[in-house]
Amino acid sequence: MKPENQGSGRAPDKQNRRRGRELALQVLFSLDMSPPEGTQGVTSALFRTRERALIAEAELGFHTSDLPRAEEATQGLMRLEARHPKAREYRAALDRKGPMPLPASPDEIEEYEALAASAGNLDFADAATRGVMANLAEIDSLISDISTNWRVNRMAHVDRNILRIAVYELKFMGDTPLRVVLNEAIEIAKRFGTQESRAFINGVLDRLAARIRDIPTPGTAPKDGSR
Amino acid sequence: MPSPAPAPPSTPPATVSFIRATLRQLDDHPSDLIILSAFVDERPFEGLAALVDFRLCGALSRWRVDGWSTGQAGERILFPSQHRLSAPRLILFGLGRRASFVPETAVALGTEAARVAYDLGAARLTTTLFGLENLTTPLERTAARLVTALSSGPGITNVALALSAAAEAATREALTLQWSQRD
Repeated sequence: MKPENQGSGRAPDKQNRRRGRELALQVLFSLDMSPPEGTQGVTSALFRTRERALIAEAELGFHTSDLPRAEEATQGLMRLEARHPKAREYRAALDRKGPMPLPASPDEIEEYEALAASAGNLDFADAATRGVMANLAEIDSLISDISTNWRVNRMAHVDRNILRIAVYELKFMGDTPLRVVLNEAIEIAKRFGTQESRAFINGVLDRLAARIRDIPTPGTAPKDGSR
Repeated sequence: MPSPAPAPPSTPPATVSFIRATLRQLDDHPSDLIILSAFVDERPFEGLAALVDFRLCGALSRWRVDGWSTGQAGERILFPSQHRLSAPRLILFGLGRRASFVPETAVALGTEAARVAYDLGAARLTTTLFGLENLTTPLERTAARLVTALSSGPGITNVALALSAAAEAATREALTLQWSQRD
C-alpha cells in the first residue's frame, strides 16, 4: 500500500525529510500524551502550514511562469481541501477561465520562497502522521510481535512513536532505503530520547526490518542499499 | 533485546528541582527533562518559558506564532533543547486561560508532570510551579500540595518529604527533592 500523497509533489531533500520526521514525532507525541482538547494546536497547525506552503508554491509557479509547478501546488491544495478558495482561483487561472494572480512584491516572493522550502518536510510529516494513525493497530501489532518483553503501551512515548514512524516508512513507504530509516530513527532518538533509546530502537527495528522487508538474517546488510 | 529506559531498578533516586525563573537557576540545575507551562493568553512567554525561549533563539515563540502550541489546557508539546539548555529536551504544558486558572489545575499538572517524567525515563526533572507563582493564594499551602501531587506519580515510592520543607519551593530560589523509584 502506498501512502496517500496530498503534497506538492516535490521530493523532499535529506534535511527536509529529517525535519519532517521530527515534526511527525512531535505531532504524534502530542496526540499520544494529550487529551483531545490539547491536540487541536498541532493538528490544525499542520493543516495550516501545509496550506501556506502550497499557496507559496503556486504563487511562485505563477510568478516564474513555471505553470507545471503551479499546477502541482494547486492539485495539492485541492487534495487538502476540495473547495479551497485559492485552489479554485488558481484552477481558473490555469484553465484560462479566470485572471492570473497579481504579480507578487519582492517581499512576498521572499516569504513565498521561505514557505515553499518547507513544503517537503510538511508533506512528509503529514503523510507519516496520517499514515501512522490510520494503521496504528497494525503497526503496534508488528512492534509487539518483536518486542515480546515489552508491550507497546508500556514503552516510553518518545520511543514508541519513533518506532511507529519507522515501521510506517518500512512497510508503507517502500521508496525509503532500510538503512536510511534505521539511521534516521536513531538520530532522532539521540535528540528526543534517552541514552537507552538508541539501543532499544536499533534492536527492535533491526528485527522488524527483517520481517517487514523479508531480509533473511537480522543485522546483515540491507539488500536495498543505502542512500 | 535491550530493554527500554523507564526507571529500571538500578537507577539512582529521582529528583525534581523547582526553580525560580532566572538563567542562573536554569543553568545550575542540569536535568533529563525540563517541564514548562504557559497560558493561552500568555504572549509573550513569561517566567521560565521566556528564559528557555531566549536560550532557544525564539523557537518556542515561533511555534506559538505558527499555531503549533496554543497553551490550551491538556496540551503537551515536546521540544529538543538543541544543546542550548541544561537538559536535552523539554515539554511545554498548556495551562488554559489565565482567568480560569485555579490551584487545583496546578496540582493536577504536578501529578501529570510526574507521570510524564516517569514515562520519558527522566530521573532528574527541572520545573517551576505551574502557574502557582502567579496566583495570590498562599504560596506555601499550594506549593506543598503541588509537591505532594508530584511525588505521588507513578513509579515513585518512599517519598521522604517534609511538607514544610517542600513549601519552601515557593520562597527560596530553588528546591530539589529526591525520592527513590519503584522497582
